[in-house]
Amino acid sequence: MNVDSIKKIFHEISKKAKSENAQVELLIDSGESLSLSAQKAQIEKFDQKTFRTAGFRVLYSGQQGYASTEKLSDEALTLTFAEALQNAKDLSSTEKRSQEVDWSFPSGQSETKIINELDFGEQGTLAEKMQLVLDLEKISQALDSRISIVPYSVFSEGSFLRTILNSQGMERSYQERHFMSYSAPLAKDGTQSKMLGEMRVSRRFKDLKANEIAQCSVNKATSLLGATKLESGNYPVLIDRNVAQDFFELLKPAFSAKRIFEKKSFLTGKLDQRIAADFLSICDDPLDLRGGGVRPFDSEGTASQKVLLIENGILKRFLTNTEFAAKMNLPLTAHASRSPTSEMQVAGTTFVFSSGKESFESLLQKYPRIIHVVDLSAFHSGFNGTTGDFSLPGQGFLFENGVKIKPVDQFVMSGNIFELLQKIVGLSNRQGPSGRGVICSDVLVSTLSFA
Amino acid sequence: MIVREEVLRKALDAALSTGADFADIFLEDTYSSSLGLLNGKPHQAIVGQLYGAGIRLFFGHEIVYVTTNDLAEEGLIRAAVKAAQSRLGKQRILSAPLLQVVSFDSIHEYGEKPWQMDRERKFNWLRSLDQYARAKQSQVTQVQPTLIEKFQKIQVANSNGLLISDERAYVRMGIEVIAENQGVKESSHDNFGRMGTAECLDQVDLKKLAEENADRAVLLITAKYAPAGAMPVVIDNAFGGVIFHEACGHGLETTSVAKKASIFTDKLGQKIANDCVTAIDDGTIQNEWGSLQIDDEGRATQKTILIENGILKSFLVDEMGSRQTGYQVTGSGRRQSYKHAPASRMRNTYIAAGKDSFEEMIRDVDYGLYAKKMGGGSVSPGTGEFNFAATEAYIIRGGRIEEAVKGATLIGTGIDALGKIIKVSSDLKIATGMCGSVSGSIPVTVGQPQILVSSILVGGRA
Repeated sequence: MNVDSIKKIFHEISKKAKSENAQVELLIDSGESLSLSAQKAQIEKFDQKTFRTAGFRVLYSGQQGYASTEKLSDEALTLTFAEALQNAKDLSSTEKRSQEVDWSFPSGQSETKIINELDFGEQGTLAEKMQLVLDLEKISQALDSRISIVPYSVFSEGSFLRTILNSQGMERSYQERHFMSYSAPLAKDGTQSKMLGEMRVSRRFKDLKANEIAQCSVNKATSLLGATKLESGNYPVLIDRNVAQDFFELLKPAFSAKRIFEKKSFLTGKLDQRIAADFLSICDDPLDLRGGGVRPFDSEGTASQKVLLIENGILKRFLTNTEFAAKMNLPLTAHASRSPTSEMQVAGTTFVFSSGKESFESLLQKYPRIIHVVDLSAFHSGFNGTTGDFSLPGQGFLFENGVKIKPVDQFVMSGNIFELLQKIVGLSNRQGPSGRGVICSDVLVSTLSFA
Repeated sequence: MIVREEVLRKALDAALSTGADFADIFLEDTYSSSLGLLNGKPHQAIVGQLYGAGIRLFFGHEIVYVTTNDLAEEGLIRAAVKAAQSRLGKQRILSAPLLQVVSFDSIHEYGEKPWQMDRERKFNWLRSLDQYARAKQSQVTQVQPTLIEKFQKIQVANSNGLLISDERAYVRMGIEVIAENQGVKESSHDNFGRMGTAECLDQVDLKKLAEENADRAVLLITAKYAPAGAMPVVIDNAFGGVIFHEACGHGLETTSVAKKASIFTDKLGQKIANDCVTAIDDGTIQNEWGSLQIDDEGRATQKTILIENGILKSFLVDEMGSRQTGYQVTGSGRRQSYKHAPASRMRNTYIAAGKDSFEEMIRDVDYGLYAKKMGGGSVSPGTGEFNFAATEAYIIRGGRIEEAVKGATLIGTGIDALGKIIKVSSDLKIATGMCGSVSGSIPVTVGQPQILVSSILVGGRA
């Protein structure tokens, strides 16, 4: 079923919605993905997916009902809309609700220039992509005799088309494509094994170079061989830029106005207060092409904008969508986020940290002893989103007076991410790799607990 | 039947055209529903339909996997041809045989399908959870109960001539409670799941579920942070079983074993734990959350003894894992949906009941931790390094359970941790969870009796 037929049936559905005093929005995601992996000098897995999903959101008497389908026939779409409408009616009929603020789906007329296409670049051939994963394995094993096997030599690519239609006249679509490669060799020395992967993400296939990725991943794994247990205590810590990008993803949900409204954010009541070091600013920028969260409009179709969240340490903004901007009397920041199968959330895109001025090496000399953390895990279980407390296993290096002493492992780095923002004492001038949800550099924190 | 036998046979034949030595098609038509409350009122109502097919080919040890949403004859054959064309230049060695329909009597029992049950009955369960939690503790500021249901129809056809179908129903009730006192917030969450339909929730003690979580959220507000360092730990039953799931379970899946990326790869038949440890992965428990009738490759599921009295007896083996290792298939091929190729995964995984007493375990510890409630965890199978979170714990001092503590991640390596389980109680319980890995997020249970681990690193605050 093509986009024109979908628009035609949606026009009929819109009329039905209006006759019921409802508003309706249709979000359609479609695309393709390819994933390759290599093992023992052969292509181990070739995985090609095609997908298309349509999701309705209906606003009726202030309540939202959702329904989705992967059958895109006229009949299936009509039925799915009816389910979404019924869901909204069920929510609005069960209880008498106190007067809620009126809000509406955005219309398509008020936005300014929209980015409709991104610079995709050349896409590479299938043979080149297969060679990439084979080379990742081969080069990794050739680089160091301690590399016993390479369990993960992976390439993936995806193309994605998003279309949003609503009964207020919104009609918008954009395309996106990305390429990713990942290598994780297993290094062994005696009875000790280490495995640390290197991932690269780009919108251009040619940016993915097997020798660079393999070299990085081998260095990461072999440099940690010989690691010994770190003595428990409180230490200054330099969170490596590669790890910092994953770690600070944990911050994002706290800035959601929806979570504030639901009393689930540790930033509640902190607007216009100092929450971070005074040299730190963080913005959310869906238009920064270095980031992984690039999109020209949000999941309601509102044009994307850069939002300054923390300015010189002061919390300036929460992220909102149409509903929560209205309910909480906050500026609309265009951060509606959902997939066709999920309910509407408010979510960040790419968080961009202010750049530091100091070199990585000079930061390591700031304290007599510093732990340079190069690996953290357990983000899904070791972080409490309500309090901001974290307790994350990790690996890294002990530095003394700027000199690397030894690799250390078997530690758990614990603290509170909200308090950590205030204990940041330095940012390096070298940024982490592009294509991620956080763009930041190495982060020096005055003290954290290590067990 | 989602797609007719004749169409499947044509698609299989197209898939085999370039020399694959095995092909299968997994079809799925799944209904899902999610309901939730916020501030005591119905707030969330989402339904969805997953509809598609995954076509898988084996060329020796290589896997090709292609998905499509178009289940008409033309669409399926187009997808099959796309899969076959990933390996151009090879001669066909097989043609699709006639498909034999395999029937079976399911051990699982279901009632009303999700779309048949009155929605108000479902919201009433959720209202009960909300009201019980708020009534128990005045510091509760938010309660979010949810009810998720799934009714999955699957069909599997393969080049061995198998044609088989199944229906699976899942229901999962969850609660998150947030409490606050003098600006300090804490939360607690829990869930109950069954392979079944929602009427089973009439048997659940909703009051207990709600009150436990309200009490825990309030307790955590004043709990101190857990200490740091290696110490003996008594891990509670039920979700305490996440230690085995992370420390060993993933390492026993042929997904890792076949690549020699598991610390257990060469240890079949060897003693890897103390005599008191017997561990089982069982897909045959009636209506249990992690159970199956057939797996997602069309094989009958099984009860698999993984470790018996400390000896490693079996891995978890799927079709490709069997091909790569030579081990017998264990009916463990699982996937989140047709969008994922299957892989060997856990089902209901637990340490079997032992003979020791929980009270004795506590008395045995001079200074250590009683980990009463666990969060999730993760593992690197290649190195054996695992971790899991203790969301509610207590200091054991002089053989007695004392003050509550929070915020500790416990870490270790698989074989080392197994070797330090020195006592296993008789009180086995199983708990609901979701496991994410190469073939997506799937329902599993973890379980154990209380166990005493002689030493494990507790990552609290220094």
